[in-house]
Amino acid sequence: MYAAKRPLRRPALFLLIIASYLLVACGARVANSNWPGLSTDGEKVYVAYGPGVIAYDVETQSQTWSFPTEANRALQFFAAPSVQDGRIIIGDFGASGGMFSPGVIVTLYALNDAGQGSPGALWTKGDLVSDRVVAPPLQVGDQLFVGTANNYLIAIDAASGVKQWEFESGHSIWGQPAFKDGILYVASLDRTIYALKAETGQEIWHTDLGGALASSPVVNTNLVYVASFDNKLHALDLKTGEEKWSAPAQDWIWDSPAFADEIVYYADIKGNVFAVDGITGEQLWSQQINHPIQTSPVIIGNTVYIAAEGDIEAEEPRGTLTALAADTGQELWQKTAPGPLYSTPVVVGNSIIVALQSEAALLIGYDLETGDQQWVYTPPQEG
Amino acid sequence: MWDTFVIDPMINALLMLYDFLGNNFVLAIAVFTILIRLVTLPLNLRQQRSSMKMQEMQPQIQAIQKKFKDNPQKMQEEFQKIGYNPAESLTGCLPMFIQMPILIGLYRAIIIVLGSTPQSLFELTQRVYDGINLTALLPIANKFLWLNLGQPDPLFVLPVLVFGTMFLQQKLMSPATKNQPKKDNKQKDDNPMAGMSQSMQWTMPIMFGFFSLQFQAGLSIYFVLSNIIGIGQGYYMRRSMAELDAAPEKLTAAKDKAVELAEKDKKQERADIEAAMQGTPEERKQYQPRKRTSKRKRRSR
Repeated sequence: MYAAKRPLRRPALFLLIIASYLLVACGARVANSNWPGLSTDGEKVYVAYGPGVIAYDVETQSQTWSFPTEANRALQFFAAPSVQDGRIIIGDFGASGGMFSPGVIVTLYALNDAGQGSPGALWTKGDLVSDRVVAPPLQVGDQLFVGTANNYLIAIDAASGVKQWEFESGHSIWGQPAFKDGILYVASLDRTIYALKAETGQEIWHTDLGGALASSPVVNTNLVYVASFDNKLHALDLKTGEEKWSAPAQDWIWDSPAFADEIVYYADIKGNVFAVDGITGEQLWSQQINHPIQTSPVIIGNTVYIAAEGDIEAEEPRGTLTALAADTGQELWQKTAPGPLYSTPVVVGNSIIVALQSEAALLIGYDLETGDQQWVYTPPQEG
Repeated sequence: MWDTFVIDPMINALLMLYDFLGNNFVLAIAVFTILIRLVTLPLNLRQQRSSMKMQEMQPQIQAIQKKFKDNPQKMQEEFQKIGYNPAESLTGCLPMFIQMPILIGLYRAIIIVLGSTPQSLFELTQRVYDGINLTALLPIANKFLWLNLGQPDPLFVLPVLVFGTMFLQQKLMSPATKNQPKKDNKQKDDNPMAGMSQSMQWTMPIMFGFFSLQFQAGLSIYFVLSNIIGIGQGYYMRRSMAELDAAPEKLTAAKDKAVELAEKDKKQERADIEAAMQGTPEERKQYQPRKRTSKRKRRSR
């Protein structure tokens, strides 16, 4: 009886080591995970999701290229790529500096996608940013602006990859900066929106708001709109940062508002969509989608498209894409997707394209008018 | 189930502590560590006491094993006689195993609370209990000294501290071997308890020190604080065990003294009786026993 127990001690120690390993393994999955980053140049769709970025040609319905060309599981990409005149800027979530290094190496890649086939590398820099890139980078002419999770906004010469200046906010920057007339408008999780001179990074004004700001501000002629976790959409004077008005929501407004024809559209994570007058903030209509919304509304013509998380408790979680009439908020159609939708859709031609956080598909194109599914793209499984 | 009963309560406890403690996440982790240590204290003390007791029994255990190696039945009986239960030797790792779900839960809880990606922050909103105003708490202050609590320590300080404190803790938690002669490898094989303790003493600190290179600083801080409390606990246990060891010796000395005094009293009493018997009848009547030097046991009714 006793003899049988003695050999159990070594397995016990072994199990302990395995359990400790699981401690790391289980957490890592959460630490570096996010929803897909989606952008377009009007022809191709670029998706940053997990170990790579792909370019998908909507017309031919085929993947044009993927980056990096050789899969590297250590790298993770989630920030929507920035595309301007064939130049693509991609930031990663950082790779471990090695088994014995606590450092994280975050790399920025500038690619030239002007020709056919795989894009050529313009430059690759591992020393410009020191924490993950969540916000889509912004290109304005030859300047590139990158917000980082360790609170910095960094200005870079987009052609050469040389750092020009950096600005430190009080917390992470998750939203792409907005730009107008040489001024950058930067929202930070520190509840503050900053106006900076794009050329030098010098602060012009900043305004503290009541909640964390996780998304990109949107600029109008005289106002900058910024969504906040204090359940309000704030409208601030572009020149002074003074708050002109705020419009309520029922919960956090996660992603940016959309502005068209003097109307601002925004959605909260309780599933409400609102339309307010862009000048006065007066509410025009509100509509309930019934699913949490972390995306920005997309306005095309007289239609507001809303991608929502959908029912994630279901056995097969399904996201929803809803079309609303822009003037009344009335539901035109609603389609389900085979996975939750956390990324703002993009429009190419007559398709509205969603990116899914699902193994069933990565991209789905729906008809803008009818909502009928046009195509589905699922990347080939590795190995 | 795992999320509902382990991770969500931890997340909410951390958020509440963060709120009460002036939005200081390191303080929240410190108080949380103390609470976790208090919850697991009875188990830890029991395990430590039992392993120390077993270490002391090792010579007897080994003698019995050797003597009755071909008769397991008899071996069990002998073990029972000396109060040794072989199954108890397996409980050595139990506190660590119990802590594992806590650690894994805490690891995920810290990641989610610090909300280092939009997805983890969104996950947080769905886990927060009613009554916690998350809007007022966000963003969670993730900077402390040179550390970003959601990232590994870039200066290697925390991994070194995790290794050092865990090593000290393991050393103090494992049974003392000062009264035992040095063992060669063969004898170590005969004493699996000691072998296990020694391998744990090095394996765990190396392993966790190594993991701390990749852990978020917040979790490494938990380890360091938890180990420091463990060191205090181990020190206290050693002292109380040493006092218990000393107690029987004191008792024996007192007993010897009592016996000596009782003997002396008896001798004196006998001498007095003999003297009284040899005296006159008057003297015999007046005879009263002397007051005893030794104490009689008081009988309870």
